[in-house]
Amino acid sequence: MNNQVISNKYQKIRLAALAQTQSDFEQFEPDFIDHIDLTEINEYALRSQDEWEIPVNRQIGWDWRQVRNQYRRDHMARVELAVWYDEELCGLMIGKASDGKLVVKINYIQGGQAENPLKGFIVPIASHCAELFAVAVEADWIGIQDPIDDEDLLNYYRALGFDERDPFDPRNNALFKRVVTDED
Amino acid sequence: MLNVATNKTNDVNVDKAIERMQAHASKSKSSFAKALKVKAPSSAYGRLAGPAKA
Repeated sequence: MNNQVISNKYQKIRLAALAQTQSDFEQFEPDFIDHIDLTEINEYALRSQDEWEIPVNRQIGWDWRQVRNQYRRDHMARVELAVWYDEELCGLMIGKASDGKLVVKINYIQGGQAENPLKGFIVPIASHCAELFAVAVEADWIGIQDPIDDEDLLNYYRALGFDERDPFDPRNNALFKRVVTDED
Repeated sequence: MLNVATNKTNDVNVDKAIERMQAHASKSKSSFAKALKVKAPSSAYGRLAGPAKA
């Protein structure tokens, strides 16, 4: 099977995860219906991110265009997420499944400006999207790589279920959550 | 184990994958609802994970 065929398969899964995440979010936060949109990281998202005004101590150490292009070139089994409120970009995330499909990790995630309509929802939305993708590719774990070293944020990630060390490499600076597939 | 890992890497049945995902979404609704109610700290903006600016 050639790479383009496989790549197209993962594209379908990725888009399905975005659509399901949006649908689930709207079910619990109906005020955002007709306002929220979850997309891949398209050109418009890249240009919008350039316009964010973020204080120096919360700025990112990567270039979103470079990372997105690299992931599109090298990682078919990836998740991409741009979170929109109307025309305003509120968050970005990119991650990928490990080679053995044991883990889907969020490698880069950035929230928008300090005050934005979806502040406080970016991490749970990104987490849910990554988890749905993980289930689709039969990975047992999701992870957040290099979580920011802020005690309040670390406690927040733990409250969202990311409360384990990397089970495959405990020295890795990451927080992991086991995907539980028999709930409710 | 190596063969299992290789098989997982190269093969994905899209319909089954989406079916699994939708089933999980249905079963995990309450978890997601709870996650949305967890109060994010005021510092939840800008870089949330990933390498810091040098």
